[in-house]
Amino acid sequence: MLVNLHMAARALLRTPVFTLVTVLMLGMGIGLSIFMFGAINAYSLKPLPFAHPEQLLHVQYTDSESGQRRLSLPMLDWLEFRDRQSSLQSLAAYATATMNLGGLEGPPERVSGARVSTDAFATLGVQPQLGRDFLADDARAGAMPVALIGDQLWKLRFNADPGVLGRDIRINGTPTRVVGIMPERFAFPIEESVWTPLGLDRIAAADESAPLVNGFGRLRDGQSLPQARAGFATLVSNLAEQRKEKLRGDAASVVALGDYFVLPQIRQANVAMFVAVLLVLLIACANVASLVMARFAARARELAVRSALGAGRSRLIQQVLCETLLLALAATLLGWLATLGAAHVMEGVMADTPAQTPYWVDFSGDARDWLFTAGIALVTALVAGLVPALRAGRVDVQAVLRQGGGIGERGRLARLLVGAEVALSLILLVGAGIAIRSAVSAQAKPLGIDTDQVMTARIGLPAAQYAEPAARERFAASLSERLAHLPGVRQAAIASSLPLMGYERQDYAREGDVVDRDSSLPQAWASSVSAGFFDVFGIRLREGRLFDERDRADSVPVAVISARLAETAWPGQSAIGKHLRLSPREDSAESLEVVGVVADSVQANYFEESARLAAHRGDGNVFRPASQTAPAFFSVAVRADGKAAALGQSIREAVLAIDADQPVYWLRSMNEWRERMLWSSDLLASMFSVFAGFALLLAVAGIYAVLAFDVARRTREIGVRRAMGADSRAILGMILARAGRQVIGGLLVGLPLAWLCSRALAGLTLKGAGSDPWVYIGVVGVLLLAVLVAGLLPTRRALRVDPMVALRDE
Amino acid sequence: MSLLQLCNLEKSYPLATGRSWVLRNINMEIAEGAFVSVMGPSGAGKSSLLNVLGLMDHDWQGSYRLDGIAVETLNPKQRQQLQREKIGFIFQHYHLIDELSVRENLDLPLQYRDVPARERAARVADLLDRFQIVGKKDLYPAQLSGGQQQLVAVARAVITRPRLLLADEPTGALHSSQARMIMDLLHQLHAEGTSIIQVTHNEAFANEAQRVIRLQDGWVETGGVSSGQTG
Repeated sequence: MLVNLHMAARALLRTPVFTLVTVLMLGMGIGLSIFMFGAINAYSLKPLPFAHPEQLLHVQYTDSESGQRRLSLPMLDWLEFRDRQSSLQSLAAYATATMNLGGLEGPPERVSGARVSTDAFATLGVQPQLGRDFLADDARAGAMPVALIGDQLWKLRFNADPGVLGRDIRINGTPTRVVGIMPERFAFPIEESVWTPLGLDRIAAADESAPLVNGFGRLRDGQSLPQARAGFATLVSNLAEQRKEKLRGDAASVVALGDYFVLPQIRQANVAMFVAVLLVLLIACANVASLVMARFAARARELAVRSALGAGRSRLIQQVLCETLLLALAATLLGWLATLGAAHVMEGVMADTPAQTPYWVDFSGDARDWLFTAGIALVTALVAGLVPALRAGRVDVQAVLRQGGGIGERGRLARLLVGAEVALSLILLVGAGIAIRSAVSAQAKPLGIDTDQVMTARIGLPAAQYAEPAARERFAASLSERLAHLPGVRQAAIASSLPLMGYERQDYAREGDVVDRDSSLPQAWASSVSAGFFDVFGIRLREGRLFDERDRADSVPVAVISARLAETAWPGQSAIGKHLRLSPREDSAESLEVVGVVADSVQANYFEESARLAAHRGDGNVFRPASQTAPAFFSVAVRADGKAAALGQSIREAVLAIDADQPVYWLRSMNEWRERMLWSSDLLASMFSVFAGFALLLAVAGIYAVLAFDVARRTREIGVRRAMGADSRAILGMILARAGRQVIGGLLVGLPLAWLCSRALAGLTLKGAGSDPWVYIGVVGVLLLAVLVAGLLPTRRALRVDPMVALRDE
Repeated sequence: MSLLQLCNLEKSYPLATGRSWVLRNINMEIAEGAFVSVMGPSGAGKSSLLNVLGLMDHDWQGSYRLDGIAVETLNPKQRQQLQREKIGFIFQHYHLIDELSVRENLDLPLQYRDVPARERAARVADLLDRFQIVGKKDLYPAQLSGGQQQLVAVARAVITRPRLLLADEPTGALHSSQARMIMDLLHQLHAEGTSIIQVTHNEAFANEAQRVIRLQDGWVETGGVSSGQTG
């Protein structure tokens, strides 16, 4: 074997161009594969950083009626399940929350935090690095408020001072004692840095303002995931039966904790991209196999002599495989180095993305990555080398030594490989085409709002200081006033949710509609907005009026609805003066009088919206006056005279001038919101374009190589044909007809495959992009153009074949 | 009546130190219906002469009239047209196209001359019959012996009914019995009126022609201009 490797290395060094070209081709495919596997490993394969992570499960509701698969549990339901369940050692819970930190040295800060049950950390098997864990008593009503803080916050804001233990800080305005510091890199569940105990008081839990929570727990010994699922299914149906009403969801969703935090879309995108890079690698292998066959066809005499000297079939096969193994190893090294560079670039890209990456997703390499890298090198060597090796092993010694011929029907196989490359490239190009089509459509889709020169920020008023609606209303009114008078501000508004943020989708019913437990209700995006909202976003009034000073907390509750909702709810009639109720199943639902109809505008991320709309009824917006709802969490939006970003600091100062403890977060222009919404589709389009670009490059190289080899091999034949009277047209026809057969064969196989594969992208792209015939027409056009480019040089060479030279005595 | 006439024809390649002469001052006249052998040692210029005569090589000086047409005045397209009309080739290594059957190989020159399909089929069938290879029409070259392959190559060369048949060592790769068969075939074609110029190393076969031209270092040693213009 060593001798073979040594000989293979020498043979490769003797042909540096061949070696370089094949290493580059394989390096592309292998590098992309290593890169994508790294992402899949980080997201899906690496275990969670907890003791026996496979025992940890996540518990939520799922609702088949609304199509929502991830619904948090109302506190009361969680408490019921916690007491009744038997498959888990305990059912802990968490609810992520925005926390405004005050009482620090320096400005207040808004951080992501979580309210957790006091057994949460024990369930995970994690203990604070300093101080103590929560005690059961911490959750009692009336207990002193306590918090645990994250390592990073401790280091950044408290200079890693252990003296912070026992100190009081203000969380959402409430003095809270720091009792512990969690270990480095701990940020459960996603990227949290402060934790407070979740109260267990059933009376408080029954209150509307009680948070929705997510359950999690560790399986008891002898219990399994299916058993836990069956157990929770029974609990849900029993609870629904007992309450005689529909719960928030109609079934329990019990999944492994790790599976919960990786969104299905990310998993799906990762798998789609991994399949794409494997296709690229396969194309590279086909190319290299073709080149290696050509190489050994030219070395047929050498192989025949070796065989005549006693080399057995296995030795000849080994000889070829050793060369492809060395090529694959060199390519793996190259691919791995390229991956390091790409990872660096991607880190920069991901750092600025809206995708919330759970803190435990770790992109550093581990044994699995190394195993995959080694495996892919070996598999590549085999895939690229096996066919040429088997052919080399079948060399006809007598024929080759007598006639100086080559190795069998290499041309036919190489042409088959080209057909396969065309088919594989087509699949990737269609994938890229669909992703690009979707991204372009998303970019071009009318939002119904003017996003230019609009700056936004988010504010969360702590319940402790702003419990009363009047207090929140005063804050909002004061802030609106200040913002409106800021230099450079044309209009200002506040809203519980801004367009593109996609908050608060609620059921609604028209006045007079029968609403009972089983009725299926339409939904709409609901938000509370101030009078200036429609001006800031350029949303035009179609009928009736917008909000004004008439709409006070004590006046008739009113709403402005979008045209689409008006048409859905009252087709062919004017909606003005009609009444509707939001969340009509709740006793507190007020009847809202429609006073205005405005043009349609996009409220949510298109991608989520289109997915949800598939499972929902109706669409549209219901706006309520902020003066009648006084939201605790709201956004401000100001339209600037000049650049929007310049207003960020002024907004922050305006807020601090009213409440020095009030942090401002999500300072972003509307165009940034728009970019964030389009980020995932842009990323998908970019990644697929890169893969398809590589595939196309490889396919062009492969088609070129096979055509060039074909022309070289058929020089004599072309000479004969010339001597028989063939003109340039006939020669061109002969070469192109053969290439055409491979390409058409590849297209015929590739198109249905591409169509099937396009369905895998359906959940990741805008509806309709996958079935756009122009994508397929465009892709076929691009491929044919690529084939023409690839065929240009070999055809030129074929046309220049001099019959005299070609037929010169062999 | 002469079929071809070469006058002071020369061919050379430039070298760093001067020129390498392949054909020197060739004067030659061959009558319609002649059977001529060209002989000479390796490198004497036999194949080069055949390439010039077959209009495959146009890089030469001097004058060449084929059937009264001055070849040197023709553009490539006209040259190709002339070649299609007048000339057929037979090669030492047969040069059949491996991927085409016997029938398809015979059909190929007719296709290149845009002969209608029905006529092509008739001519191919005639020739298969005449050369007694009907039973082999669907075989591929690799399934034939050397002699059979050359038989097909001759058939392919004459299917376009050329006035001039150029044969470059047509028996060079064959056993004696197969070579005899091919020579007999050439005699038969000659008897039917085809002019033939064969390059050969075989003295006996050369002498079967009406005239032998001997080349040496690119010069015509003997036989350039026929004494009796025997036709």
